[in-house]
Amino acid sequence: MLHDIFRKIGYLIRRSQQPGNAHEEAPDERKLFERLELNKERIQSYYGNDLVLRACNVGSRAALLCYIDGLADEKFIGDFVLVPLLRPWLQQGMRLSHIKEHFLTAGDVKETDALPLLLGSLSAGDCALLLDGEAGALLISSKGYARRGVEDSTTEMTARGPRESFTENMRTNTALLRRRVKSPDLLFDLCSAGRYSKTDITIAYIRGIAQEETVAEVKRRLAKIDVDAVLESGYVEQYVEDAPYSLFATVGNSERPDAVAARLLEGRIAILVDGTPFVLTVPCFFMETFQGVEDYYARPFFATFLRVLRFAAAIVTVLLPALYLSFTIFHQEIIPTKLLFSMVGASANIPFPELLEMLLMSFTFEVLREAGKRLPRAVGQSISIVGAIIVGEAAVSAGLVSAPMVIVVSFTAVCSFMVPAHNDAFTLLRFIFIAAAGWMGGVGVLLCALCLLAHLASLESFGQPYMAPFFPLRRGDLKDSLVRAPLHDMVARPTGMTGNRRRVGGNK
Amino acid sequence: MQNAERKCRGFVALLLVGLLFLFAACNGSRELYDLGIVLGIGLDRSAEEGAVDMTLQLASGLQGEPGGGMGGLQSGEAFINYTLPGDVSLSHFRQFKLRMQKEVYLAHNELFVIGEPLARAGIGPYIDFFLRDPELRVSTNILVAKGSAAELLAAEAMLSEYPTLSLSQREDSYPLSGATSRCSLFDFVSAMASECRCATVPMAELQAGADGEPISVFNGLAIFRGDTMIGTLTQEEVSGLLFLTDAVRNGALRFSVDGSVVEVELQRSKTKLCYTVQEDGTADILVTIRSGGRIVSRAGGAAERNSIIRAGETRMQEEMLMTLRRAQELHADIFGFGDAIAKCEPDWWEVHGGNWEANLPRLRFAFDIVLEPGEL
Repeated sequence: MLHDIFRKIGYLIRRSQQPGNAHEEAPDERKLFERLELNKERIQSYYGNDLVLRACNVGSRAALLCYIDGLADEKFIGDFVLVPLLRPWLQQGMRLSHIKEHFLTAGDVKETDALPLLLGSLSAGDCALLLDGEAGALLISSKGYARRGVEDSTTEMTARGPRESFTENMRTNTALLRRRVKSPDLLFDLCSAGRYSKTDITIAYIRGIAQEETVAEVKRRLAKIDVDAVLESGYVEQYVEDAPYSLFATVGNSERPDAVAARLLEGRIAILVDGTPFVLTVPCFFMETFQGVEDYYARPFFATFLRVLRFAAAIVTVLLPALYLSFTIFHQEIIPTKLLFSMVGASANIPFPELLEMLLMSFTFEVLREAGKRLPRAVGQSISIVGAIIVGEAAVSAGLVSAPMVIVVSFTAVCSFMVPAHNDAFTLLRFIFIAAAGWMGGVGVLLCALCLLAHLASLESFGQPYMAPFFPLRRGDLKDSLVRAPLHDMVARPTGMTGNRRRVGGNK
Repeated sequence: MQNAERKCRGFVALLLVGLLFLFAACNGSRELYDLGIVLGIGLDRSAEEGAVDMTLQLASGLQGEPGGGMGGLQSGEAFINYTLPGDVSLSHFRQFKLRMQKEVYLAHNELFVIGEPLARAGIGPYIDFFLRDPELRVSTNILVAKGSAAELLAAEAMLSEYPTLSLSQREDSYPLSGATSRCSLFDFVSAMASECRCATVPMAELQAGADGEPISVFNGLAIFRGDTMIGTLTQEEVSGLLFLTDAVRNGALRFSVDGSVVEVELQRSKTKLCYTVQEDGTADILVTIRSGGRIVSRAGGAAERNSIIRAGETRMQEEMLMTLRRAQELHADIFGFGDAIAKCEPDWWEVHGGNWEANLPRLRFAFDIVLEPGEL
């Protein structure tokens, strides 16, 4: 049913955009008629049985209140729309504008004569009031569909810091941001995308900190999105990013309001998409993904240690299987003699070549991880345990894989969870590096690493070099890179993000 | 313009991908279980004229069961020794490969053992093959076996499952304790290439252990001029060599004071040599030794501390003189005096260096030894 509604709305919009489409003789189908019955029939033709039509008399004129069951808040409509309307002292011949200004106690009320706008508002959860003899309607904001409350973040959990995360409701999300940045300079610009979904998108930034050129660029790219529907912020990310064919995301995302607020305060711009708790932030740097929000709540030394640990884990995630493979099948001279004995002993009766064994193990791990992610939480955990312990142990006992191989793949798997933002890219890179190591050993790994570095150095995110502050070297920004300096030493915002760089002092 | 740039980039990318295929030499992967990892190589004189018996020691737990009919096969629990006669060439190693059904992998070879008869006959032609092998490490230790290298490699190992690893580890660690010198393949070849220097290679022999089983023991050094062994140093003379080459860091010094045996454990010993050349082609060498230490044994008697120190210093000097006399008898510069003088007095060396071996007995030595034991 919704599909039909969207199709018809789309048809009306397309017709309205075509030049020379107006028929002078025929009545404009995009406008509401004066006759209430005609309007009622037209509205009914778009919706099914979830459309609620409440006929009543306002003064002595017939009126029609309509809304979508399940999307609108019926209690709100009763208290703030119907009760004021059904007062016995309402005068005859009252117009919509008069009702809006003097009687309705609801907050957000708009007047329109356009049928597409009315249909769009109904689909968004508003209710519409139509009067007989008047070619117009009042659109009263009464959104009241079921929504999830503010809950703990599940993807960016921290031991210290606020627990709450964004929700699927965009207004809740903007409020969560506003609670953290109370300055009136925090601006929210609304737009929408998706021909059929009409998804609301909010661009959030702080005036005076964010660069106007970047804000304009974000708006320009969002305006260029021409697609049937935007169902998640991932859609927007892929349409606005600089390098759509790169393995690396050049648009950041977070579901934590404190993280997004911190990025706004650094001069970044947030893109909030209705219907998803994941908020996009631009520009995005490679190093940003190694910076946990908790780093700023912890002591600087431990935060630095954690960042180095994450960076090392990322290197292990990408390189360890490939290096192990290249050492075992190409460069055995590098392995210490006694370790080599252990490895040879472990792989003596394995029926597969090392490369195939590595690919099989890595593939099996990815299957287990994906299965664990999709299944219900309790079952998923069981799958992980079964996969990691029982399958691994059984495979070693059965002589299908060697114990060192299981150790390498397992350790790599554990490390891969330390930088979740790049998990997808690192997983694919791992397989590329394994293939290169199997083909050319250390030379292959080195070549791939060089290509990867060259690619990373060539990436940009909304005009900012992706690998900053390392390539190009921005010494001042190194304080918040692999090292997290004490907060009182980080006096400036990142270079290139803002013209207003000083963030400590001067504002008393 | 953009199209041209894009095409150019595509061409460069294709070219780079094409170049990758030129790394054909890298496409030589080997599975671990295909490798016959050689831990030690022994070379002995063969009964056949112009041939040597080469013994390869491999870890047996990793290599699978040996094939039947293997000539000269000796096996223990942890290792297998394969012995085949040949001329140390590719075809010789191919014979090993055929017998073992494994690829001979030399990168982890820890030790060369050369039988004394072969060492006295000259090992140059055989060492040459290994020097040209890219797999073999030049840091591999060399050892001369008093007797047969194959027997030494088959002897029971001490503190290790593998005789070669045991021998190699001892050769690495003994110089620090003053027991023997160390010689790697690189050292040996460097000495061979030197105009004046002779190599010293540790010697090991089999002795009966507590349970009657033969065990390997280090005893003395073999002196090589070029690729040929020309003599030996006894264990006492080894100590003097280590002092003169500044190879001692810690070690025991045993001597008598007033009829009582005293031992001093040397610590942080340091030797400096000062050369003064003369116009007549001779040179004076001042040997300065500063060593800490502690007296660990005073069996009977109550000699004064100063007496013990003087006796210790005298003992160190005697050991060095003993070694020097032996080297001068053999006309073998095993200390590197010639190289050092050539470096600091090149003009003098230009004139007198050509007859260095003959001049060696004419060198004069003076000693400045200070022993400072920490406690009585």
